[in-house]
Amino acid sequence: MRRTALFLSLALAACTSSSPLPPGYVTVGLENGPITLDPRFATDATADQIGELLFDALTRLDNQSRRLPHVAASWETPDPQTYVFHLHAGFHFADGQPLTAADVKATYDSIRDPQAQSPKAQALAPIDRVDVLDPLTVRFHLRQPFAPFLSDTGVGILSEREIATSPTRPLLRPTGSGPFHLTAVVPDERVVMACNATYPLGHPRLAGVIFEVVPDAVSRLLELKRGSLDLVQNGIDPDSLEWLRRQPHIAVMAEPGSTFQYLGLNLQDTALSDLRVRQAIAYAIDRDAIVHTILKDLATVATGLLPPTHWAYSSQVPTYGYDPRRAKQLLDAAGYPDPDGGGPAPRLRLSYKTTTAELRRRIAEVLQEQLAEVGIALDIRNYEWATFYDDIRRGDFQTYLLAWVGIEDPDIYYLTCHSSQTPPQGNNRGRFHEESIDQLTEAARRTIDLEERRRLYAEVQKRVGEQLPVIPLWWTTNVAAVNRRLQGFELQPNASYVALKDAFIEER
Amino acid sequence: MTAYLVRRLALAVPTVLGVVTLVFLLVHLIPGDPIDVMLGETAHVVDKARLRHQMGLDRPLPIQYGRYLRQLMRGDLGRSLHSRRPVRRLIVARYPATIELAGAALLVALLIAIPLGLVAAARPRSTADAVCRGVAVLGASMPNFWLGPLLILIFAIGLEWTPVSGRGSLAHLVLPALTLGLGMAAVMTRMLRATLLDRLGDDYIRTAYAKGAGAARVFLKHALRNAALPVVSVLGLQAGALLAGTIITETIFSWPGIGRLTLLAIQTRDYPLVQGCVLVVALSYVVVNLATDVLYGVLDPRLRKQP
Repeated sequence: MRRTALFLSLALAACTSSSPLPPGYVTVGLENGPITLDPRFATDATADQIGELLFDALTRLDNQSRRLPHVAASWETPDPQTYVFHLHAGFHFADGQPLTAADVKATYDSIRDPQAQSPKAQALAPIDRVDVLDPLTVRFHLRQPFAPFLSDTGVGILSEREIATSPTRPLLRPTGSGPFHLTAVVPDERVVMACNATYPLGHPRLAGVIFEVVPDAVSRLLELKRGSLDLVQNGIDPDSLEWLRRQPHIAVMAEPGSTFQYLGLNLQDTALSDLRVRQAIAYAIDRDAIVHTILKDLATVATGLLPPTHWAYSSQVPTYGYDPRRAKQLLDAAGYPDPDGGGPAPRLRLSYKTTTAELRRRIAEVLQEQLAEVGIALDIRNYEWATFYDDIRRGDFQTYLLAWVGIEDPDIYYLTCHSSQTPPQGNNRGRFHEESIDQLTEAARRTIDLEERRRLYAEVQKRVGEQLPVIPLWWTTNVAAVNRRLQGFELQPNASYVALKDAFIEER
Repeated sequence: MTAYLVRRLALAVPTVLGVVTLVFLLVHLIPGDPIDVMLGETAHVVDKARLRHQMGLDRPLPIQYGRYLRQLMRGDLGRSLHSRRPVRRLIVARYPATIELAGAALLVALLIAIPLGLVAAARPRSTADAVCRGVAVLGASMPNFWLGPLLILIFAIGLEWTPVSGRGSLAHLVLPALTLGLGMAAVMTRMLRATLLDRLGDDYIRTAYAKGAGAARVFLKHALRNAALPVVSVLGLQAGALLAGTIITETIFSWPGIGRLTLLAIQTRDYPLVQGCVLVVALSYVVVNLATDVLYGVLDPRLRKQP
């Protein structure tokens, strides 16, 4: 028996033709592969999170969502509509050519080219033109003063020559100037990158990184256990964390993230257009209980869109702690009395749309139970993602659960609360309209002065907190499970893998 | 035999056309907007309208359908809305993995089902038969989403004989092929046992024994060949299902097959990719059915002579 087992083992080992991990490489497990890595077209979260390892942008994000110099060593704004960027001289593409102002112009012009139909074109609509002043100076002229413009300077720069080879279609293997060079892409299977030894901001200590697509959550954990994956970030079922923490070779890391989970409300609905009903729902939800029991404390109860780490965050906002008695009083006042004095008949019936994901279903059941306590009956309707999202876009809902991922500029308040931003054009999905918030968010996007913007957004946060166009639930915590041989990796609020640049292997 | 094949091929044309039409209608009727997927939700309505026009999605459905059929005639499956790469290239990149897994799973199923079925039929109601039937029931009642991780735990984590997931070597193929093959083997074992027992009671078996043929010869040459027809039918159906992609197994083992590609296409309302994948699956069924018919002819000469 033992001989047979040994034979089988040897036979299988002999069959394993896939080469072992090259020295100095680490493997990272991904839930989904990037749809495209071309920074002109990439909009999926995976491409964004990997992209910073391959491409350099004019600016980079710090942990407080501020834009700091990167390829642009510095910049000035001679007037509110003009930004002049002075480029660092040391960046080179993988083909050895230097990164110049012409490449910056070509990248931005390509995205803005109507023929390219880039999903990023609308975000760059405020740009009127891009001018090359000299090989290391580029000027952006905006159509009007637009403070959130700096958040658009995070686009990875491609070379002018490569863009010319594919002006309107994504490149399968785009060449960047980042700390790693792309060496192989197998769509929906793996992305392989090797260290850029001439990277001007200090070359990576890893020889390379292999991103492997492992779509099943359990398989990702088992790959970690086996040691064939070194890092898995997010997409980890909270119930698996205890098991992961017991594995001696795996370290579990958790840091606050910038993903905002909320309960969306249709303000055109008769009941939900009443502020008292919205407040009653907010008081009826025990967020702490959900965060503790279902999310295993991997979230922080939210007060608004911006997380506490954000430069524009304000804590001076109304909060709605769990208070079912207050919720019932508000429903009484809004004209929804208890019809049978604590009996089974509800005061109010609402539909609740969500996806079919297991965690979402469990959250829905708890919300249903908590709202039932105050007399609100929630009819849960689970849909496949595209159908669910289509309903939300069309305004075919009463309440729903969704998240804003990767919040960067506080202009998100304009995009989600301004009355001009209702779908299909924008993201004010609940059709919220409040004149003072319209004015404040308009003023804030025209104000270049950071302190003044901070003041304006503090006021916006306070008023949105009072009006409750959506019910804030929690900010999700980013989680990573790391093989202890991989050292120096740090979680970023936007879940970027950029810290792999400074990570290293420590064999034990 | 040639006329027989031509007739079968001619029958396949309306089948494929029917599938193509049905899928075209269904993907356009289900909710979800592919333009939202391509341009993102913040895109300007004017940009969305322009792209919708460029892609012809604003034209009446019959016109879109006619254009799609003309495109198909030229062998052009269109471009993925999502990755903007040619659908044909995306499918060609995935289909070898699907064929590889389907072939391996069928092999596993046959290697298990034939000996078990023979043993069970040779000694009906014996301990060996009970064991074989028990194994068959066990195999049939274990869902893939449970069996897959169980096999990983035993062979990849416990014994470290195989990789956990992925594709690239024979060792990567073992666990997904076992996961799919064990369930199929169970069905085929039971079917083979039942049909063999049925055949063993036939007159020609008694005649074979009377002519002095040995038990092994009677069993393998006379009974098994005649019992194989229903088994081939099941095998054909299962091969078709395997070639359509096995989403759960492909997901558990990170196997880059057509099943996951189809699922992703449906989730993102990538119309050309959904249509391309379904077309390939329909063609696979046609080919497998033809192969099954040919095998029938080989096993039973009477079928070849039928008009």
